[in-house]
Amino acid sequence: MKYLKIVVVIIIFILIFIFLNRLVSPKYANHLVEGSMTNAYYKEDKDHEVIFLGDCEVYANISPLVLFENYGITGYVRGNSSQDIWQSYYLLKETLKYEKPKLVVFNVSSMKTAAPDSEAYNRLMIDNMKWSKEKIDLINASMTKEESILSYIFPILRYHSRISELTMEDFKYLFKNKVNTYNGFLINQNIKPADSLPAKRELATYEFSQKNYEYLDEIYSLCKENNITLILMKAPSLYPYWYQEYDEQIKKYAEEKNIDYYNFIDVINDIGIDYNTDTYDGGLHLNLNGATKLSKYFGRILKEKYNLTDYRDYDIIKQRYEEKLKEYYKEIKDGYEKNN
Amino acid sequence: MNREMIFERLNDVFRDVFDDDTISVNDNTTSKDIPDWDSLEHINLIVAVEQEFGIKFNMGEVTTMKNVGEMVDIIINKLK
Amino acid sequence: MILTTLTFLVFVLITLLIYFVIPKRYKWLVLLASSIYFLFYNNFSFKIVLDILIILLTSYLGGLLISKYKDSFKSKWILLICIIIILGVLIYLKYTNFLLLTLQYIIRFFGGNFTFNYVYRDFPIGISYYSLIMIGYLVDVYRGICLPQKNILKCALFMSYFPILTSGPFIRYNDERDYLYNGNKITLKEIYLGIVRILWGLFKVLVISERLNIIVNTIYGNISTYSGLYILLAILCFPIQLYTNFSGSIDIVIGVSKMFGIYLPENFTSPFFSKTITELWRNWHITLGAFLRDYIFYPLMKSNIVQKIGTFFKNKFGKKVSKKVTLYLSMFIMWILIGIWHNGSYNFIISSGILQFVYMVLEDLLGPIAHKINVKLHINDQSKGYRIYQIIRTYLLFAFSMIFFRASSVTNGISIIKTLFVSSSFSLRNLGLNNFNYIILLISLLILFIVDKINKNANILEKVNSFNTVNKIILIDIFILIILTFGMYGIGFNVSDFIYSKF
Repeated sequence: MKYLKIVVVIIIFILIFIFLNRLVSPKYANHLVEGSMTNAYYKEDKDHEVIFLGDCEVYANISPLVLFENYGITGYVRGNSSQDIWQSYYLLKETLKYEKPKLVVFNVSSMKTAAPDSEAYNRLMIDNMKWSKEKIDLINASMTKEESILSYIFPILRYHSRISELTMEDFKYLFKNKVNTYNGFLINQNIKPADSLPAKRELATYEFSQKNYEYLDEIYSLCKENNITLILMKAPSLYPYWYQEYDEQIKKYAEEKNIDYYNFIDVINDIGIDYNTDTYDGGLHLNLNGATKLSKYFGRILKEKYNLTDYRDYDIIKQRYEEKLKEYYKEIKDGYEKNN
Repeated sequence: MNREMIFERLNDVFRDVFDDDTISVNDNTTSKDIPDWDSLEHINLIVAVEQEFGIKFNMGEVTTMKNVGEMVDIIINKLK
Repeated sequence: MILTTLTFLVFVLITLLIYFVIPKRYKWLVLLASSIYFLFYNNFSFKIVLDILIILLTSYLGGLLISKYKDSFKSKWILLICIIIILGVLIYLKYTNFLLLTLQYIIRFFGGNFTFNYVYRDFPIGISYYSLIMIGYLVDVYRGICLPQKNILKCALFMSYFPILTSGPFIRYNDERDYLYNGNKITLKEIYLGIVRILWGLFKVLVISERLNIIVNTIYGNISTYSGLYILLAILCFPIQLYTNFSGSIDIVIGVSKMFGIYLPENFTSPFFSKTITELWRNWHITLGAFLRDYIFYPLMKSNIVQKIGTFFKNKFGKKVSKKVTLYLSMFIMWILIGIWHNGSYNFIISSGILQFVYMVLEDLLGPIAHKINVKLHINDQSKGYRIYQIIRTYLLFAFSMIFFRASSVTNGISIIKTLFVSSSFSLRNLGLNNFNYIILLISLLILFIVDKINKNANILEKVNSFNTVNKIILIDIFILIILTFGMYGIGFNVSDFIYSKF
């Protein structure tokens, strides 16, 4: 009887502990929605033919729903704010546990980043990820010097001070996560024209780090093992600068490995991007307008060159996507009305 | 000098130091039994006892004696 | 290694596990190894090793020699030389600036010109504690209270026992010898009591002290913006902040030691329920007071020079006056030393030295007069109301003296007192805490009040130990959850280092 009581007490303690951990964790529902992106994937039907991998340059610039509407391509963006290449690698590994796409498109901008630099971005990406070996490896690869994996396992160690700042959101989303993206695409309808850009700076070195090349190799091998075609892309942007030296290194790499590389900066005019109307932050990322243009442009290439299925011919999938599209356009309409 | 005589003289010293004529000490009296016997008065007491008997306690004895009985033992030893 | 970090708790846990499995006769070596690791964890350099070795070798050899030449005049000289060496190291490392500053004051006072540059010296952790502890050890050997330790490694363990390195308490060789070397059996009861004590300490430091720290820092950090009631608030908060921080760390130290079966002396016994400053200091930093009493105050009172002064006054002004003069003289010297020990700067000498001395002299002189007045006015000074008045008065006096403890300098302390009298509006907002945190703070202070009140007359740990197993586990669980949720620690809240570990 005594031992039973002890066991019950300890179980209650553990339950309260888990509850408190969840209570003080940020919910990323209506604020900092970038923190909800990794988690949104788990609710998805996992039968995508194309996986887009990378940082904000994918989730802001490529809309899989546009790809479906126009070409019947089923795609998903597994991208997060400032997602480093090692993070992309482990996220791809996790994705392959759930599904086997035909194509993986990797946006190469993160090749520039040599070391973990911000706890905040790590938190946004990792906090709501499901526990797996990949998550542990991902955390170990991502942490800045001041961080400890314990605070990822027990978020209360990191977020306990939020106990004094709880809002209704924390209770509403206590045991569920809000999905804020459409197949990994985050709608942004603001317009901030690209009037002025910071001056170009001389860098000490333009050489990508050895570590990043190793991760790129890992991504390449992972795709090869799974019979997936890897494509490299560089999203259009005016800033941060994608230097000629960067581009040459990627071109060389793509040639060596015999993979395709699309640098959309070179074809900004062909795509029809107008940096007076198609960017929400003065030339760094595309807004909804720009993303729609890019998606249509890129979709045609994907469709023509890589022999993708037109899922508009499959009723079940078509139905699913039509529902998504309905919501997608409703949010766009609502957002448009709010702005005007 | 026997133990009783020492106690008699000690009583006078205690009454004088603590300004209390009702004090009467025995072997088991400790600082807890006399309200004013704190660390400050302790040293005054020691000095007064030294003067009364013409002896010197060493500091080890000062800090380790636990009750009046032990104090009397030391005094007897020193007077031998 | 800071006592309130996970690193320290893990370190203790590992040490405890090894201590548990190792054969009895080698257990003390585990403590020694951990202590050496702790000693050099943050700071390792040849110079620091040298500083530590000088103190260790002086105490070890000194102890043996003093004992060898016992009862001969040589032992006195050896003791004196050893004390000079150890104090020399301490003064060189920690009081050079203080001495230079004093020299500067003196030279300027006589019209000279002298300016010195501050020197920064790296010193080993805990040196203020173990240099005095080892002097105490040597004096005890000299006084014949204890035999010298013949094993230098055991001597090293006594000197560097890791829990006490950051914030004390002062220990005596005779009290701890058996606990340290005997290889205690670890018992479930002691583990439990140790954990409760550690959690209580963490609660005091992380939940209470760190919150008060925010208020006090906000106000004292901007005395150009805050004045009047704000300053009063900071003055009133600081003693509790200091108390919860310091006594909380001592709780952790005592709790950790208890788990190893090592009993350390208490350093605080509900000090803020004291009716006088004299009584407060009997309950505040007790081991420092006791140390200075046994090794400075008593020898001073018994010294020939003080006795001669006493006789001189006795013949001229009578016994009563003579008693007061010798007492006050010795007290004055002791309090100046307490002030200097806290830190080599004049604001500390004022706060934890001179002011305390003045308070105690006034209490000694005015106490009997106040009593007479009370009798005349028919005020019952044994009544509950009067006691509460005395307790509040004592707290206010202590809080006033602590202005100089918290201030960065004497001038800073004076300007804080000046701003106290500049009127201002008052609001608890914008002091760094939101309403929720104020509520947490008030509830925690209430818990602290109740526990200290019970502890004043009884030992609360005994009550806690009488719980049945289920209740014990519930108690620990609740403590852990409260500290994890309401404690202020980790990134975002950088737990300020223990106020006392810089001493």
